Amino acid sequence: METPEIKHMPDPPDQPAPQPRRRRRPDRRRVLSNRMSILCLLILTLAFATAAVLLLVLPRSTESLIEKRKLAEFPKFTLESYFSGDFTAGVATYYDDTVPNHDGFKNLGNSFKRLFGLPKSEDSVQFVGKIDKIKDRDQSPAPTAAPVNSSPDASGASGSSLPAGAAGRNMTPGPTAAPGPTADPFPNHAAEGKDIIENIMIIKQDGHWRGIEMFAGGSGDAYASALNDLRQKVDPSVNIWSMPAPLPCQFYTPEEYKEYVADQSQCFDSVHQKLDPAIKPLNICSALSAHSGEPIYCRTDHHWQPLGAYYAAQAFANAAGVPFADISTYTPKKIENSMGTMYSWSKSADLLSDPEDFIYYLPGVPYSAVYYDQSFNFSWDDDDLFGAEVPEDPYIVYLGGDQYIVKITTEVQNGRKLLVMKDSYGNATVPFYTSSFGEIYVADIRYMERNLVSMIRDLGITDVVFTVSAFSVVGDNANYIQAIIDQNAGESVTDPYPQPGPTTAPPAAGAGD
Amino acid sequence: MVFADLFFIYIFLPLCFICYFLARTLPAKNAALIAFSLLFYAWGEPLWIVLLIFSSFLNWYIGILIEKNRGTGRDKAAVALGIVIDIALLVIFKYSGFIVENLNGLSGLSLPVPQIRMPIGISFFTFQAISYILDCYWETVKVQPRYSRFLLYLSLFPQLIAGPIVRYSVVEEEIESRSVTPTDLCDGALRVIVGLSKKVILANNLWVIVDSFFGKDISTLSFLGTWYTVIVYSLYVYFDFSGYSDIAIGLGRMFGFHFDENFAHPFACRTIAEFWQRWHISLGSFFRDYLLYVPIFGQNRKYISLFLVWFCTGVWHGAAWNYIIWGLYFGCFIFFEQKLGKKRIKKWPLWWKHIYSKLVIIVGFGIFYFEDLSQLGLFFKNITAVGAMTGAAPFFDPITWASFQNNLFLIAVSVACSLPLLPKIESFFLESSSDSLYIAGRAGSLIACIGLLAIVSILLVDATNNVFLYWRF
Repeated sequence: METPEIKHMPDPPDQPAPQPRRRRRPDRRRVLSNRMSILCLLILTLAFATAAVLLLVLPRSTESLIEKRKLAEFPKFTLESYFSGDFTAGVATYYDDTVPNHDGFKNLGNSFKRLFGLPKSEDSVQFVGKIDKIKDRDQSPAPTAAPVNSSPDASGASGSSLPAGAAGRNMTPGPTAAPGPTADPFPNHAAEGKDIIENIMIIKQDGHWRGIEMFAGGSGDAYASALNDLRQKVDPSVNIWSMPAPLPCQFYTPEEYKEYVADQSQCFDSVHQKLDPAIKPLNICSALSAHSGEPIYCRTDHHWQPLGAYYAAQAFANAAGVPFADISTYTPKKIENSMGTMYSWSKSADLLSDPEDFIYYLPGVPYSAVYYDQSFNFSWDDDDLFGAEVPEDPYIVYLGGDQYIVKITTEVQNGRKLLVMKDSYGNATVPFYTSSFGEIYVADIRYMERNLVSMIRDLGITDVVFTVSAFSVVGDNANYIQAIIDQNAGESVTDPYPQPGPTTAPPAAGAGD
Repeated sequence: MVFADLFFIYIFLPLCFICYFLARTLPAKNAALIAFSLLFYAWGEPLWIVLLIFSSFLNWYIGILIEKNRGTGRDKAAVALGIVIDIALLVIFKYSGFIVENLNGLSGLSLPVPQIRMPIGISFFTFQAISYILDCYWETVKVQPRYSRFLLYLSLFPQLIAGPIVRYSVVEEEIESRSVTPTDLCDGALRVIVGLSKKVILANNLWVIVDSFFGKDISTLSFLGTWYTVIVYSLYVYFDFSGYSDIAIGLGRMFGFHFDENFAHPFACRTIAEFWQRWHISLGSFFRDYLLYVPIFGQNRKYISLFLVWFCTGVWHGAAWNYIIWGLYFGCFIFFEQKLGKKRIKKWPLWWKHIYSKLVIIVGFGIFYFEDLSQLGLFFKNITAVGAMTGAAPFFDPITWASFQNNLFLIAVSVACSLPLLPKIESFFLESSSDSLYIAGRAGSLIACIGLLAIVSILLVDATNNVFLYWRF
């Protein structure tokens, strides 16, 4: 074949030379071509019109269970929104986002993408996001400026070494006016937006797919500084515990990818070395590692399974010298075919094809539960630690999400009152303390609006345990701890609810909903 | 509004077709097309539609002035005025920030950098307008006496915002008289679906790979990882842009317009000159016809104009130095090929011609990607293995291998679709003398396209990268 003439600017491409036609009856072919075109056009029009009409007349989706968010609403027209382009963009977004059977289409699309690669086998791995080696990452400390009374920053952007959004992974939105745990089907993650989709590893191990976030490490300076400050401000008789929750990448990252995740045990030890010696550190990595062959972490959600929380609570109870009930005394409850955040963030069809059972445990001892809003005003006494079972967000079963301060009263008479300061990881540990402490208060470091020092003092707390995920230890969430130490300093805190006795029998899960 | 969007496909387009085909006369059809074209543009640029209308009116009127003053010398002044205003608009909206930044950098001044948002498609419709007034001046086209018809030419939504750069001569007759046959409608619709598939199935998913590697600090990106990503990026740019051109050409055909091809399987080229005969043909032919042969450089015009053309090609793509480097980089290879001579290149083995041309093109796309020159430097360090040799970056990394395994078929299909394989299969069926084979070919392409439309629609529910790359040019 001839090389085209070389010029310094292109000519139009050579038109193919007319091919000698071997058609016997060109007119007949033309007629056939026309008929075929008409037939094709009719079929295409029919297919297209059917799709267009169905998309228009079928009921539009309003929420996405797999993305755990409400879908776009039709924008309000104003001249300002029109000229800025927001209105027209909003109309298109509304139409695109609320297509009928939104989740079904998304699942179909994600499944189609499985065809892009080789068939998956054992030890297959996929990555979502922008993966860097740990040794190459910026190890600068997290910022220490505390966002006082601010709403949670879901962006997760910070000067820390975390990838964007990582610090906010366990975050849930701020308190809402919702009267109970079932009012909003998406109390978790709704505010997290798109920033959360970063750096996820999807691996196949032991015949099952697992999605795990990749932890990049960090200094934890803000976390250590806040706890040290708290230590100085509360009575020395109060035990302050630091028991950060490791992420699953600590236990399930294949050897060849270890250089892409930070060692959380080392990270926790390093942070704990910065703590006041009067603070009691508890590194539970080895305790959990001993059980990594058991289902201690969700495969399709970014949280641990309640079994993992059980081993963590056990380690804490042993260290605190309080009684602890064996898991056999609990009643297991199963949320079948659950598919949590790892799927909605990664969109991995492999995860979608391999749902898991989320097993939580009902205490075998009587207790009562009172729910307060974040300002510690009484909300309701449901006498239940468990809410609705949502397979698309199984972890929401605990404590009505993260929007409430909760008090649990048990029959334990050891004079110990525990305050669990937590992010969502801490939620699953709470039921396992019902045999260990007489009173248990639970508050979220990100949302509590009262002064932490006053809470500890005025409620007669004897033990404070910080159970937050590794992301919260090194990321932006740590700043909230300093914020709740500083906010409303000097106030007095009174429990607005009359002291109830242990009035209820062990409740059935979801009974209160 | 973007083509790769459910709203466009299932709301805008059907409404446009219904109105267009309900209109009985050509003026009514043209009016419908103008209305929908302006709506299409105003959907994304509610404010700058004023600029589009101003530009169309100005250039139409320049055409009238040329005609009225032909041979008087004023016609030349009118052309000059039109070109100056067109280029001034382009400079103000596209390059003013870049120019001031560089001026500040060179002189130490602190002039305020203009923060003007570039109107979508300004590079395309401005070049179309320039081509029109020059063609009017050179009398290669007749001056369009009706503004509405010129507005239709400039604002025709299939090619308005991301090309191809359609010459007035291409649509001159069809604006005034055209018909649409069932074959036009059918082939146009199939072409639109092919273009959407290139964008939504291939380009969008290739971009996910590119972004996961190039979207971060690349200082530690491995040697093979860099090559892998830049190859994928080359495929991405091709499918993104050629997909848009396919949609534009297909839509044009459905309305009775026959635009020229903008791509001709550029990765099948064997030299860089041939690549540019196959890539963004409408831009290349614009510079060839309106800049290269303009006799303003005397004896040295051959080489000066060569590098001027490639400088302009680079600048046209964006207000950043990497685009200028990219343009001149190709200018150097064209110059090299020209100096080497056609006969010598012809003697090269075919495999060497392919390796040479692909290496130059792929590395060129690396230059095209990195607007940040420090990142571009790192890119060259990694792609030449300097990073690996100095220990700054590894030679290979498992993330690249995992990505390759998980996208092997996507990449393989992309490579296959970038080569002229499917057209050959298609012509085997459609040019066969056997009616059965012909019918099988037509039916096969119809079934394939309906399947592709279904996949595209499903993927668009989850698509986040629907804006075409060439929008920003």
